Amino acid sequence: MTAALELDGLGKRFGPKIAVDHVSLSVPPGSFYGLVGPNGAGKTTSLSMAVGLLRPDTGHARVFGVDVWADPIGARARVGVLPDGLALPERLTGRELLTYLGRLRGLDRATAGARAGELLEILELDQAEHTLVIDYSTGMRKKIGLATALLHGPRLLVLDEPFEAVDPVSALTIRAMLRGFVAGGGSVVLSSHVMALVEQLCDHVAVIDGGRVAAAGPLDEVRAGRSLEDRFVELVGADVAEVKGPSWLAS
Amino acid sequence: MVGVLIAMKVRVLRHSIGGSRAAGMVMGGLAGLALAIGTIVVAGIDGDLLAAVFAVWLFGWMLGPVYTGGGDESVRPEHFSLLPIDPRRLALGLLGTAFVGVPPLVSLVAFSALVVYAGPFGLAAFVVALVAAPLMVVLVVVLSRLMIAVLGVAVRSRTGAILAALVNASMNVVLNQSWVLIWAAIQFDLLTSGFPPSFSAVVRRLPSGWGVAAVEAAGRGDWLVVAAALLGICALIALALLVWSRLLVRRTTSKPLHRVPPGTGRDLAARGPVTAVAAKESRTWSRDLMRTHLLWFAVFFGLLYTLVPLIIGWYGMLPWAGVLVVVMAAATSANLFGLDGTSLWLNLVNPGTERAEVRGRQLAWLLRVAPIAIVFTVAGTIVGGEGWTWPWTLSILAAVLGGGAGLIALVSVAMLVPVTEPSKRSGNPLEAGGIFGQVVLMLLLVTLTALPAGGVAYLGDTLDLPVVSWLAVAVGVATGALLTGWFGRLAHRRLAARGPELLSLMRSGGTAAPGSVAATVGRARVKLPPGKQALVTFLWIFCWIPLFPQGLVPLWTIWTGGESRLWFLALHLHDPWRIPVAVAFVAVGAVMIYYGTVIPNRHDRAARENAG
Repeated sequence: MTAALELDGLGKRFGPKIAVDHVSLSVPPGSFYGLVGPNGAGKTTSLSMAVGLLRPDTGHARVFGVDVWADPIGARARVGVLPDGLALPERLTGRELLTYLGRLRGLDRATAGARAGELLEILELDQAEHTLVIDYSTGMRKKIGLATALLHGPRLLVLDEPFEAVDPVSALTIRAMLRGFVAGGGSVVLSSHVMALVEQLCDHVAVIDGGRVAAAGPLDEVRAGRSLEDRFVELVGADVAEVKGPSWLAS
Repeated sequence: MVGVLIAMKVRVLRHSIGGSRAAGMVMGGLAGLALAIGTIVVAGIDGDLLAAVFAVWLFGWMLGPVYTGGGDESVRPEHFSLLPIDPRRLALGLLGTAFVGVPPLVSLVAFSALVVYAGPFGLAAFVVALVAAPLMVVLVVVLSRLMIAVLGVAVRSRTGAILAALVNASMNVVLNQSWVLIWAAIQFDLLTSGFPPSFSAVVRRLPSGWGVAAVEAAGRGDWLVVAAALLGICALIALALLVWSRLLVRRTTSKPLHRVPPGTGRDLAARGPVTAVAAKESRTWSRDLMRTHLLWFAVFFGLLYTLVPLIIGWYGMLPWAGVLVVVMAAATSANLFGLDGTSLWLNLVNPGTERAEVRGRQLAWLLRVAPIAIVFTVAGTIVGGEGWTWPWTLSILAAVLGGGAGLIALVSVAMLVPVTEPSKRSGNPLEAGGIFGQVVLMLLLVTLTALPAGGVAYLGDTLDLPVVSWLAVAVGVATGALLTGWFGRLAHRRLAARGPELLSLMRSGGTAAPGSVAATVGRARVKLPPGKQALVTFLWIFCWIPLFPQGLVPLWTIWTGGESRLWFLALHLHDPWRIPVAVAFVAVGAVMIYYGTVIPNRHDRAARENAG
């Protein structure tokens, strides 16, 4: 069966720094795939290259077997993306933004309007009818970003830190929505720092450290009978016992 | 604290100066130094003139940051808003950082002209000048900072943005149309009979002239005036600092609020992808204060530019108001994609929308600019034109509207200037980035798109065939449509092919990674060797002189039968040499631009072939 998303030897170098060093991953269709790693490990860079936002120096990325860089149009139509920290058309309201993107995706006016309304309601953004995106809070920006990723009904979602800064109630809504999406045959790839969340949601996980894949596979295989957090700390080689607070901060 | 901030700024500068920026800095510094030396020369000629030149320096300092994108913001007050620092101390510290760089040094050289001027007035005047010169530099720098801050706070409302555009445009027009003042000066025979007493008084009463006044008073032994002038400068500096510190607090503690006009916000009335983008864009044009400011700047610039010559009773510029609005609006809109920051990712993940994005933006720009320009052109031609002006103005208007719509798309994709992300801006429309080079280039390119239509109109006038004259309008419409279509297509193809590189350019903001020579820019060019880099920079800085003042302007003056010669070489010659010489200057300018473009391209290609 073709993988929903396949990274094949992706590499990226910024000046002298190798950000991503031949990352290969295979996301099976219908899986909920978690990507974890320390800050600066190359998660965002890998995901950007996987969805066509950053041109890789080496390697390939395929969405349902379609090469993202050889056939961008074919590949990107099948995937919904939530990037981390990028701008949006800031001077539109949430509803305007979603309708606009729907129209841009070729949806007819009625469909675009209906989908926008439904997404805004589910994500509880419909109260902010007269707020421009630029005035949204960080959590609201995440939610409207998620809505843009869902709008065209993709079969694969690639989400960079979808739960960052989102309030607990909205987080529950988003989780339920993503679970439903996977149950219906969709695939989700998300990156996160929160081990407990990845453990709860995902059935597959990859640990990325220093631009390389440290471990990848079904969740139970990767954590090998322990908690994901312990296993993660062991994989990235951090020595937690040695960590001390700043000397002047002690009581 | 000043020391820490200065060290911080030096470090930031070191991380953001690439090869070409360093070369630009050197060339800019040399040009500034030439002006400063000119000022010292003036100091040996006449006190009135020196005071007037100092006024120009002050004006330049206040206007410069507006041109270059909000002044130097490498160390921003927002960075310190959480620190427990008194705002007055912070203002003082930030002022300290404002003295790091080439322009303050150049200004110090310029204001040292005071010392030269003080020579003949004796020792006391000399000492006063030694004190006054550095004070004047501090004064111009602090007034420059204040100007940015005032504009930055004023433009947080729509009305404020429009008013700031008016102020901005007026100052620009005064500088650009100073020839009108020169003309008026010639008419009133000032150069032979000297400046009228009122002029001498006015230039000395401006803060920029207080240094001159102090030196002269010291020469006369009028110590009361010396004290008044020097203390006046200090008081003004203190006052400016105080107001500036207040404004800094406002800037870091208030956030511009964006209001959605009632009746909108629910739906976008759009038929397809292109109109959807156009609807998004026209909303952005009216809701984004930076864009409001840029657009109104163009409107006021075109209007005032053509109104100023009315001082000397010349109505002949009025018909061109609309054309000027279009040219200026195109120049200030040429960073269209850059202004939206990284929202380009939406086009990258939405397959095949590049065409709609470009076409929609072109459409929205035309819908914004064309109605105003058409009204100005028709009204201006009725008031200031004659029968033969109609084909000229209408054909050229059509040509530049189309050419502008094409060029804004192409240039904004081909030479994007990274700008602070929209959501991270302080609301200051002056943060439009370092777009000065882009604006100048656009002014030239848009003007060039009018050539075919203008040529046909000229032919019609020369042959005295109204049919041919009116054919020019058709030519203007045709070239306009052609360029909009063609450049737009080039733009969306480039967007589709190089989208990820453009996105990483916007993300990185064009800074160099610490400890590395290579910038982390997506479209990194191969660096030119210093000699070639200096040559290219020289070509780009000086190509305008043969092209415009020595080439196109004299041609226009010959064509309209104007009589003023000023410093236009061609006009001092006799027929049959006048036109060939002006044309030759145009050719020299064009050749300089050609080589300025070709040398880096060739070098780039050769280096790539060697590497590959």
